[in-house]
Amino acid sequence: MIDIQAVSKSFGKTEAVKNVTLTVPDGAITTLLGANGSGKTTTLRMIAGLLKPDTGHISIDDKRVSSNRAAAVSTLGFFPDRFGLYPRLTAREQITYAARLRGVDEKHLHAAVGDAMETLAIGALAERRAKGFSAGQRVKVALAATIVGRPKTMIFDEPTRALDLYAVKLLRIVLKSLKKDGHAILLASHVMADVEELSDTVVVMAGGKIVAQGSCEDIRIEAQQPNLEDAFFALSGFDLEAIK
Amino acid sequence: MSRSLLHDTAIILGKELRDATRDKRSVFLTLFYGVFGPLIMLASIYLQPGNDSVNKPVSVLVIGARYAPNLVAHLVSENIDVQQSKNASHDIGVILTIAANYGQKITSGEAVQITLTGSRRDNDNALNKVEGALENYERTLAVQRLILRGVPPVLLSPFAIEIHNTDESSAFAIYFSQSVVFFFLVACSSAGMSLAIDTTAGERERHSLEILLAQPVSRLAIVLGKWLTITIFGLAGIATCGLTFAILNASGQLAQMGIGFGYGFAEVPVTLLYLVGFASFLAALQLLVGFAARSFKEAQAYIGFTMIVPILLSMLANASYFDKVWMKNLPVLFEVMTLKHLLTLGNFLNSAWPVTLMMEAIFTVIILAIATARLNSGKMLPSD
Repeated sequence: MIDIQAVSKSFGKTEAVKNVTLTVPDGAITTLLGANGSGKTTTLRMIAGLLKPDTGHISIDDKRVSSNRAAAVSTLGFFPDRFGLYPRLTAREQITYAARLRGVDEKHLHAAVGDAMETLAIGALAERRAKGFSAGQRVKVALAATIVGRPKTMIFDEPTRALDLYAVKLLRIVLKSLKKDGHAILLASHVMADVEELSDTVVVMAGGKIVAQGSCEDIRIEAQQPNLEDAFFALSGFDLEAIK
Repeated sequence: MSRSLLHDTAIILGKELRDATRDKRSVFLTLFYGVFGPLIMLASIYLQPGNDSVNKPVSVLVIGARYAPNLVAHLVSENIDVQQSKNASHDIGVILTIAANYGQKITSGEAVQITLTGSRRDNDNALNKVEGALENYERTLAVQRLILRGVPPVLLSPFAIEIHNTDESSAFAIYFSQSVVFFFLVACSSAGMSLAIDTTAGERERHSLEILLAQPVSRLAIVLGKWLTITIFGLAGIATCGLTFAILNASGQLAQMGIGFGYGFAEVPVTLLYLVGFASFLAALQLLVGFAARSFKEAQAYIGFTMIVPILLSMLANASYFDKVWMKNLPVLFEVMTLKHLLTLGNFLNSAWPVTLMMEAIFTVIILAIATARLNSGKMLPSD
């Protein structure tokens, strides 16, 4: 479970995140929905301990990220919006490296890496170096490195970007499966189809603040719009009529 | 699940070493200066004008050779190729003209007019060699005349000079050792350079750094793992340079060129020991510069500048005004002095080493602390 309490973050004079309070429960998928610059990535980076909040605090499974980062993120899988692979390492080596860094012990390492590769169906890539991978293959290997060892909490920043339809379908199945297994999943996405299919709770962010949260239906009703996309635009302060 | 700094550093070191040894550019740069540095130096000395002229016979066109057969015979005995007429196949730079009254003047004990025509700028140094041979002959004649007039030979040579030349190496040896020291330092610098760029700015540009920083390992472990990898590559560059030099020395190539050294295979680990502080310090500097750079290209430019540190200091160390002892104990200057000693005289123990090593360790720790703070600051993350 991720617990975010009254978190704010500024970069110079720019307030990127303003007083955000949010809970990401276990066994559910929570989605951050927001335009570029709405504060989604900054929020995710603060959860992963990459940035320190100016005020407020974040806990992962009751461990404070600010005071004990290593312990707090030891059960966290992080998939950033722009992920990178090591071009000279094979898919198996990349995933093994991630598992070791996460603290998977040597006894269970082989099984954990095998499980992650099997989940993402990348067995054929196992011994190939990442240099020649397609965009979709790269995403799948990066996702396998994120879920290896099955960390209890996982955050994904726009994971379906650059994926083909088959890979998107596969990812949705994986995320649903992880949710079913009791993992707390926080997703940031622009893709309404993903949001509608996967999310238990949608958190709409605009200008660094949470402007609405609830189920897709709750959001639509709150915004008095016929669908989630229009509800998002309305809640984010976009002039729908002008767009139309 | 217990974690330790050592364990996390070992994980990162293992990955970095595996990644770096597969990087052709890093491996090439590790070997390049180490192997080709001493070879290029040797070639430049071999091809240096005047080096091969020491034993090369000089051709001289002697006009009027028939008037002075003994003089001609003396020139031949001094390894001078005497030509009595112009020959297209001979490169003649000096002309010696002997007057027709040579024999008459010698017999009467008068001064003889001899004309030498040539250039002192000639690469073969021919004019000086012929001039020297003539002066030797002139001294011989003078001594013979005095002996004939009853002067005892011992009065003509009051000193019985016997030279024991302990200098196995020539002036080239000193020049060569200074240049080789330079290559040791540059080999260390270049070996770690490409790796330092790739593991810092490269990792940042590939967006793998963000994932690494999100892992439950300390930033210090990340810095230490990367720093150790660069240090190992720097030391590999030094070892390559030392082995190349030892092979050249053992093959007798250096001795054939009049360059004799005490540096052999046993001196390679000693060199590594003396340079481990320097390699660690330089690796830390390269790592920090790489982390401070905003892009791969910027890192390439700035890390390239770190090569100037050993180059500049090795040049300064060779300057005569660095004779003060305390200066020789400074990092890099110490290494330059010690390596010169090691190359020319072989293995030895330098009492200043622990002091210099400690100074370098302090600098290294400070730089690594700054690099860790840089990773902690969040400034290494890509902007939205």
